[in-house]
Amino acid sequence: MDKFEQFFKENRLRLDTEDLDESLWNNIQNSFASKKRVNVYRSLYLVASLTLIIGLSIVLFYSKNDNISIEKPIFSEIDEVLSQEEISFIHLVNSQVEIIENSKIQSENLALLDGFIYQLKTIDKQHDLCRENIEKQGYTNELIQQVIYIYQLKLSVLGMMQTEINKINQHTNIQDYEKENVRIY
Amino acid sequence: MKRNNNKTVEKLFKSDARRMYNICFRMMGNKQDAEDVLQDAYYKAYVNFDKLESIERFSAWLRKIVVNQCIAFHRQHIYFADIDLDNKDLLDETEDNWMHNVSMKVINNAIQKLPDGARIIFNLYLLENYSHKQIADMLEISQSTSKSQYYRAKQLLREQLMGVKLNG
Repeated sequence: MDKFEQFFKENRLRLDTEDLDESLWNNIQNSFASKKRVNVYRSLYLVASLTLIIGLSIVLFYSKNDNISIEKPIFSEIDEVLSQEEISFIHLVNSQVEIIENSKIQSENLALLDGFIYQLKTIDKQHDLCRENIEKQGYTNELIQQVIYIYQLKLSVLGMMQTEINKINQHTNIQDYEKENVRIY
Repeated sequence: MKRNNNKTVEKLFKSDARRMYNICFRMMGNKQDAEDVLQDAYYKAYVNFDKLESIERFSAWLRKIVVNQCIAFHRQHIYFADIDLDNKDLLDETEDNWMHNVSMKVINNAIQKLPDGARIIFNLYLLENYSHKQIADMLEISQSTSKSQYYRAKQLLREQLMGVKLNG
């Protein structure tokens, strides 16, 4: 190290000749404050988002189930036997829907049921289409068979949906059990 | 470190602010850039305060962030050329007694007047104690470029400050 370098090493601190403007420090402090505000906003945003997601999940679940719980008789005007058969189908469908509605499922697993909801909506559309065709064309054997098939199909999908819910809940319960029973060595 | 008491943390930051500002001022070569870089560096440090391992290391940790911020600014704007080292000992070291008669303010002004590349490397090597290897890695240049820029800075400073003394 030569004299030149030695001088700078020894006088390093004396080289700090510039003073910090108070306005600069105020700006820095303001940027700190904005960081704090961001943190508060982020927390509020998270809470609001979570509340919204949970709320939406509940609303969606029940609104989806509302779509599958409505069953109006079609055959009551044409034949008593057919009408009784239809009513028993409607009872079966509604009781199955009621079981599903009373099943508890975690909101994050709700998406797993989307496929069933879609199938049920499609079935409902076909059901409405049959109703419209009956209103326009009157009763035909083909339309009557279609309506009966729709009820059977709907019952089948609801049954599969219930099985899936049971599976999901069983899986969730196993996970919860495992979490609660972690051994500490 | 947890930011449990924001006022205490701010005091901690303020206690080093003047020293950090002077680092920025010497590295950047002008007041405006120094202020901008210091603000950015301080915000970055404040945001990442939780990553600081212990309070004893605060000053070193903050200085590293400030220096890195200066480098990040320069990396975008400066090309560091390799300089011929043949003339590095052009001035006789025996004449280095001049500096004891020159004020620190004048020396600082002379540092400000150095070309950007030379000034940054002079600061990093001599005043911030980085090795040429570290400087080369940080600035993505070769070690020989770092050395040649440093010798150039030394040479220019000697010329400037000797001139000041002779004229004064």
